[in-house]
This record gives sequence, C-alpha cells and structure tokens, in this order.
Amino acid sequence: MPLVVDCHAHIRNPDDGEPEILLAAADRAGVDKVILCSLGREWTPFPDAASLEQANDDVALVVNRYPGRFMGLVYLSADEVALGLEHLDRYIASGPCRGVKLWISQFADDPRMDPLFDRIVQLDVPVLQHTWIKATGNLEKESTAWHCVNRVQQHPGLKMWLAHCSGRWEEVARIIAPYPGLCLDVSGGEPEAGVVECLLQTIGPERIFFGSDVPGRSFIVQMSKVLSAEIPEDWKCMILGENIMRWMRP
Amino acid sequence: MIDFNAKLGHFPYRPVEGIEALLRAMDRYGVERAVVSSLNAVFYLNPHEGNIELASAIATHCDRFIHAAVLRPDFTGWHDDLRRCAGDCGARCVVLYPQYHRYDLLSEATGELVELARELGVLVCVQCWLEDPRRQFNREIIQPVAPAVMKAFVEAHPRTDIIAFGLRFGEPEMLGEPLPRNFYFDISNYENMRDLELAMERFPKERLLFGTNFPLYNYVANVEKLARGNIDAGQREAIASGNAKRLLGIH
Repeated sequence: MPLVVDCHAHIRNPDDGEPEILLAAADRAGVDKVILCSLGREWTPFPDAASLEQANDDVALVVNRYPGRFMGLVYLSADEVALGLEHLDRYIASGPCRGVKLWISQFADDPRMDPLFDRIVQLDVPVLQHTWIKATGNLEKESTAWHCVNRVQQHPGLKMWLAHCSGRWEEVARIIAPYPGLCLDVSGGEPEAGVVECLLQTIGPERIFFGSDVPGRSFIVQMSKVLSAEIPEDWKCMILGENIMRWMRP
Repeated sequence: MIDFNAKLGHFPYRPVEGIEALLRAMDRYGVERAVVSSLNAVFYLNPHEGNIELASAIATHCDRFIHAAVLRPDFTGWHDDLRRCAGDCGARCVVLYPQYHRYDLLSEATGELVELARELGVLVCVQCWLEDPRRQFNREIIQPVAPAVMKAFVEAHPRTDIIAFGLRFGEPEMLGEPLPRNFYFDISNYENMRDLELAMERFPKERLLFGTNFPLYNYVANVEKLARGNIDAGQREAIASGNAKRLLGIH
C-alpha cells in the first residue's frame, strides 16, 4: 500500500476526543498521516490574537501527542503580523510544526503579509492557502488562484499549495502551470468525476496533493478523486502522499 | 448492490462518461443493477424526449438497468408520458427536478403527478442537489431544493414513498425526527468524516439507499463510502441493496 498523507485536515478542540476520532476515521480510510491545522475553536474570518494563539497551541499539542500521525500547520493572519512572526519562530523554527495555513482574513497577495512570507521562505516551509473561485461569489477576502500567482511572483522561493483546486479544477492548472512553486490539493467539494485527469492535462502529477478537508468532508470520498483516476499507479502514489512528504520534510 | 441514483446522457458543462463506463464500474464494484434516469432530460424542454432516448439506450441491458423517468408536471401531456414510461419503458421511478425545470414542488400539478405515479406503482424521487451552486459558472445558478420544501412535499403525500437524491449531511433530519415514515434518501452527496456512522446513530437503516450520482461523481466515492463506513453488516446490506429491493419490489 502506498503511503497516504492527507494534506488538509482541521481540528477545533483537541480536548474533547477529536484527535482520536479523526485518527480512527483515518485508519478506516487507510490514511497514514494527516497534516493538521486549526482555524480556532470558533471559526471566524478575522481571528484575533487570542484565537490564533489557541489555534496554534492546539495544533502543536496534537502533533506532540501523536508525532507519527500528525504534522502541523501554523495559522497566520495579516491582522496579526507581529504575532505571526513570533508563531513562526515558536511553532516552526523551535516547534513541532512544518508549514503554514492561510485562510480568509486576507488575500494571498496582501502586502501586509510580506514580512511573514519573507520569514516563511527563509524557513523553507510550505504554505497551504485556502482558495476558491465561486460562481456564487467569493467571501470578502477569499483568495483565488490569481492571488497566489501574485504572491509567488513576489516571493519566488515560496512553496504554496492551493486548497480545493481553487474551486475551478477545469481551469486552475492552467493558471498555476508557469509557477512551479504552486501546487494544488484536491480536497473539499463534491467527488466530481475526472478532476485529477483534468489537472494532469496541464501539470505533472508531482504538483497534485491528496487532501480531504475533514471533518466536514470524508477521507475516503475525497481520496476517491485519486483512486478513481485512470492514471498510472505510480502517479497515484505520488499524489496520495509522496509529493506532500517531499515538501513537509518531517 | 443496487445503485439507486445513476444517470445517462450528456452534461452541458463538461464531458461525462456513458453507458459503457457505467457498466464497467458496476461490474468492477459488484453493483448488480442501477436505477438510471436521463441526464439529457434535465436540460430538454420536453424531458420525455430524454426518457425515450434512455429506453433505447438501455434496451439491451434490461437485466442491469431499471428505467427512471424524468417528467415535468407543468408540461402538456405529462400524464400520457408517465403512463408510457411505466408501461412501455418499464419505469419504476420518476425523478423530479423542480429547480432545473422551474416548477413548484408543492403545486397542485405536482401533486397530480405524485398521485398518478402512486397508482401506477412508480416511486417518486426528487433530485434535491445535482451540482454545487458554487461551481455553476457562466450561467444562472440553480439552487438545491430547500429541506423545508422537501419536508412539506413529503408531508403532503403520506401515502407515497418519496426518495430524496443528493441530500447533504445535516439535511435529512430537517425533515423531522423521527424521519417521516414515507421518506428515504440516497447517500450520493451525504458526506462527512463519519457520515454513515452518524447516520446509523440517527436514522433507521431502512431509510438510506446506495446511490452514486454517476456520471457527475466518480463511482468509487460512494462505493468506498459504503464499504469503509463504520457500520455493521446488516446496515451495510440494507443500504447496499436491501432497501432498494424492498422499495422496487424485486429480489
């Protein structure tokens, strides 16, 4: 069996059994490792300092509790840059986390984030950036693939993967193709047929990651996007875990 | 296993697989039969044209496919169309698309269709969610059927078994707890980290049906959802085929 690493999972509260429930579900689905982030115990688009402290402390606690199963991402916000720099040092440089999570408190190319990205590139850790292109209209500061393109042009050494295929898998590979520092995860959304095959028309398998977006989504349903793809088995292995492990460098 | 929610036809917004791919998937994953409706019918002004096409397409596979008609209760002549589907095509279900076909699920005309379906022994299905509205680019967005509307519809027809296709996690219970006695739903879009496990804590196993929403969804998604769900063998068997066989009156 290939190594299966879910690059996109959430936790809210590590004190009420969530990590153990998540691991039990991961085991049933055949997921070996989970890359975990927290958006806080109460999800708010613009988290304050206390929320960010709690979120990252929770992730570090879970990673330390289960170091063989979880890898952690540090949640940052453009509204708390100084705190973010401190958290990059505390939870990555000196801590157990191996990457960064960005959500919807700022666009990916928000200039306020420049000092944070300077440090992220210095630490050589990857960023999971939430992205969507919604026919129904994006949230106030919800990034699209184009915001990520702008960011990687400003920070050429950056490694960033776009969550959810940016919601428009028919097009996103073409958007990111010229920028090797940008990759995609296939997490979230419905298990539409043909997603991975479509991405591979434009980018190589090394730039696609399996992710689930649990617990709101299912490990195995999201994995089915890869399992069902009519592609070589070694490409599936890459997508299911080898690619993200190259970036996470545990 | 019986796939209660598969479709055949073209999808206007991206290429999708056809009958050969469906049969391959069914063979590969042990799905003996599938209830299939016309995907073309969703987008035709007269959906019955799609029913006729479908009947022709599956004629040589009547041991594998069960015809499900797609009809509009506001299109002239639908009564005859339903009788022909039930009689000539052997349709065992009718699938309603009130959002795509722009009619009121709670209208008198829809009520007439439900009554005639019941008289003919045809099960009534409602496609509540076909596509994620966030992904409906460059066109007018079709929202899903609201759970409150579905609740009112089910309550309006207590003598008719009604099956909802495409309900999401958290929606079935909006129709009432306990669920209305005549209400069932397929698992095609019912997703959560512990989807079927939590469903079995909440609902009787007799209410869920294995469905894939082929060709819009990949076939593996719901096969594996059912295979790996943290549920017991009896629950799995009921969802996989037992409930469908009972509703369809087949063995």
